[in-house]
Amino acid sequence: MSATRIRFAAIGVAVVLAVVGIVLALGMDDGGPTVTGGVVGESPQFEVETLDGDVLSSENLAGKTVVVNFWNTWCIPCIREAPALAEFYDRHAADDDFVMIGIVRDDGERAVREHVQAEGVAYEVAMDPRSRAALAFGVTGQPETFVIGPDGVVAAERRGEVTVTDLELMLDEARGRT
Amino acid sequence: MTRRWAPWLALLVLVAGAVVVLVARSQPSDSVEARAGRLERELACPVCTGESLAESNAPEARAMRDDMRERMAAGQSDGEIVSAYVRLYGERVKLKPDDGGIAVLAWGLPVVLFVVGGAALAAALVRWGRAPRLVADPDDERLVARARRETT
Repeated sequence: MSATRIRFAAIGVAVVLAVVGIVLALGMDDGGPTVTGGVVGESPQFEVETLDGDVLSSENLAGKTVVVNFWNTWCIPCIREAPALAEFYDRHAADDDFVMIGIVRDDGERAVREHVQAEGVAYEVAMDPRSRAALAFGVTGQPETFVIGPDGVVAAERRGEVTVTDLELMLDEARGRT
Repeated sequence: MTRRWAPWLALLVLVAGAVVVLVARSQPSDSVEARAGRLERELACPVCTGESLAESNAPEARAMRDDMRERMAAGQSDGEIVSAYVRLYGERVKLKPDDGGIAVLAWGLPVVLFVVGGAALAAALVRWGRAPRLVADPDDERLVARARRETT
């Protein structure tokens, strides 16, 4: 290859790199960091009906610390985390400001009722037939757990299985103890 | 004089009318259903793999389809609706890259590669076309003749 061709090839590569650099530099000024999603810091508006027929909503739960767990009976990680949720609920059920709701993401009511009865789920379980609550929380699967502070703002969220320690830390964040 | 121009005038009116109709028909509709249809194709179902809202039958996708219509009825713009979903689900909810900044790479790189590739191919074809045809010289002829003699 002649020296002239090498020079032209080098100039070509330099031009391409310069263009890519300019485009990347423009991108850095374009709206800041990439948004990864989530509702921490947001106040999701929701309303669900429990299996007992009670309506729980962001309005009537204002002032409470609310743990919301999205789950299904057919979800293996949900079944695996169930003992942790039960233990955590037992620890805090008597707390004045504490409410815990298991919202069913995508399941039949009959299967849910049978599961709740068989497993002795003590906290509130609600259906979300039109997935409006799931949408309000930006749910992308199950299980997903959120803790809302007394101010109605989501303080913590976990996507996937949780442990009792996770739940305690999330509760502390919501209560402003961390 | 008027008779000479009449056919051209009629043709001009016809072409102008066709252009107006084409332009009017190519304008995107502002109806809620048309806007929702466009957004459903541009947004990903957040609980699916590689499916748009338009394609998915997941409960969340159905909820989002209802929700975006309610947001439109409440007066939100398409940009506001997309931003709300991006806040919830992150950038991955957008199937269509943005028009500016770093997203220019997604739109521009294929075009640049196509142009560069086309130019390289054209240059190669021109070069091959210019290459001199090989002509057998007397030495080659003698070599071939000898090879033929030896094989027969």
